[in-house]
Amino acid sequence: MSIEVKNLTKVYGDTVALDRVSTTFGGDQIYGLLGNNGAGKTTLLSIISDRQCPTGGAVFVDGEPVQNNDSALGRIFMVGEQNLFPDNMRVHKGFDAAQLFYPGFDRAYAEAAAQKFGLNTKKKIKSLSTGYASIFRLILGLSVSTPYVIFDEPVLGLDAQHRDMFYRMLMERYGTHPATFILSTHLIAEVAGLIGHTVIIRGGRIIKDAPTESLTAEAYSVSGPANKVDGYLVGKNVLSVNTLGGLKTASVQGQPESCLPEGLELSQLNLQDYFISLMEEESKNE
Amino acid sequence: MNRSFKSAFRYQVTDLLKSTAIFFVVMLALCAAVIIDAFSVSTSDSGFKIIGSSSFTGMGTASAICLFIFGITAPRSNLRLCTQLGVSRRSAFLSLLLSALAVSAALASAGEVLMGSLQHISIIHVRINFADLYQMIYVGSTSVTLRFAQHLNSALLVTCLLLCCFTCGVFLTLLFWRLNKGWRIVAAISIPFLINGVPALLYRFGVDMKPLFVWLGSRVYHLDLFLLLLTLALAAIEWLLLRHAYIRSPSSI
Amino acid sequence: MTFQDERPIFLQLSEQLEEGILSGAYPEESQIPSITEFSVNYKINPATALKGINRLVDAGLLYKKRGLGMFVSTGAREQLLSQRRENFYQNFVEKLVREAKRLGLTPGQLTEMLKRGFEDVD
Repeated sequence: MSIEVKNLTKVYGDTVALDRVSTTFGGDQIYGLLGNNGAGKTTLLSIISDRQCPTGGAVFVDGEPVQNNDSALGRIFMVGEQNLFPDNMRVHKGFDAAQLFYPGFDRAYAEAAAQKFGLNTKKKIKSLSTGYASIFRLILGLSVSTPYVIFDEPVLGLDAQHRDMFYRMLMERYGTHPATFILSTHLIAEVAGLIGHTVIIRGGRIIKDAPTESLTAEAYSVSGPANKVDGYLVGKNVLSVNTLGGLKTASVQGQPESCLPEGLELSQLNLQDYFISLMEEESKNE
Repeated sequence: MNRSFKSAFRYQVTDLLKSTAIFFVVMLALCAAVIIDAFSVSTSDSGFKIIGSSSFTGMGTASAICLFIFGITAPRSNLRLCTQLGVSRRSAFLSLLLSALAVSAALASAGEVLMGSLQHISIIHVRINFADLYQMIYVGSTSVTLRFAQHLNSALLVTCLLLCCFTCGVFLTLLFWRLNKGWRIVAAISIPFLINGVPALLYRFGVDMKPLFVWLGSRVYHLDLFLLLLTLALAAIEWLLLRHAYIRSPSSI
Repeated sequence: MTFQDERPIFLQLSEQLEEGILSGAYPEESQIPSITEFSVNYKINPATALKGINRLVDAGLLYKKRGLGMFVSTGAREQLLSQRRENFYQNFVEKLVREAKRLGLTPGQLTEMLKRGFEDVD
């Protein structure tokens, strides 16, 4: 049971937004889809949810092609960055509509969540602030109980407290109603602990697609006096280097030796630093 | 008909019916006004008497305009909602048309019942004629009351007309959605030209449209058929426009 | 509890659990929070929480009661204490002596400090 993306390509005139992208989302895992602005995250997700048509390739949900397929689309819920609800609809009517279209919609949970976030269900959806518009959509995503739920930048405009609430509610919901979640976000540090599997996309191509743990384990950070670090780095696959006065810090791809030379400090890269280092290395190669 | 389609249909029918009901109430008020307006007092040597006459034949036309406007406003809003709630664009489109058909039939029937019951009004010496399109075109006299079979024909004609007008509205709205800015200006300019210019051109080139109109006017079923064919043709073009569209929010046209 | 980035999260969670067992926050034969509770509280993936817990299960410090959850084993505290006593030399003494040597302290001075420490610290 999975969403399979096979050789997906999307071209707009001269721009190649997606270039033969292939990957799989499934197994009731929490996926992180990471990438810079314009890397292709939203394009990929909107094609998966059939909001956009690909130029080439296809998406399969539990073996069925997703295009124009109600049963496949009914299994996915996409929390996008945009409001697709009618202008005059109020929040509670939005919940009514969700209940009509999704038999598994947990209305009680949605109402409780709205109260927790302080979302006034009598307000018109169009009149909500950016933050509350996001909150409305993410509540839908948490309540809808479909096998696949996609969150594309779900915490846009949310203050720190609300972001924290969302992550906790997500983990709680994941515990009570396991499903495959895809989380696409810029806030890597905030979600690093949550995502079991990381997919990194750059320039329309997937450059990393692995369990989060293995990604952070495949690189490390070494720091110390600049000359010692330089000496150590010879022959190593260096991702990025940072110098502050005489102190140099470098991110290195690979596994560290069990015994580092004197004066050098070893530490594990967190996911965000790993991502940044990786992006720096990629842009060097271009 | 799968679950998504049913939900989409239910939602859209309910939504359209609400707006249609408001329209119908307005029409009721209009009919009441027509009735009241019919009465006037005339004074003469022999005293005063109440005279007057009035007629109202606009139910079908007004309904057609109403559905045309719905055709312009409903599609994008409904398509977006359906997309958010897991309905394929094909089901969203088909349920849009099907709900328009249902509402057209409902409004046509309600209008027919209204006109039919008002037709029999003759208060004192005041004659008020309520009639509609079918009666005007195919019966020829607005002062007779229709038989039941004629009422059915009338309702059927209005249903076809309403559905066709709705589809025209959908066509215009989808056209302007899918065309880029330059083509939109071209379309905006050329549509009035075409509407006015094509008949003139046809006349100039000696193409005689008269046989078509004679045929259409001979039997109501001919007009029904013409309207339905036009509806299908527009629907086919609309699907072609819609197939590869990127469904997103209004702020990003 | 916040996670420092240097070490794997599951490892930090294990160690926090060990601290809890030692301090008595998780008494023997009592139930520890569920995986979901850990994942909600610390905003970590349940698989990570499970890995941390399983590390202690493998060490015999926790065990699973079918249908109920994870419990602290009897004798877990003692087990941890003796484990830590064994590691005390490597984890603390070696570092202490290295630092003392760096600062130029003699063994006698160090011993005096240790004695003072036992009196001052409670």
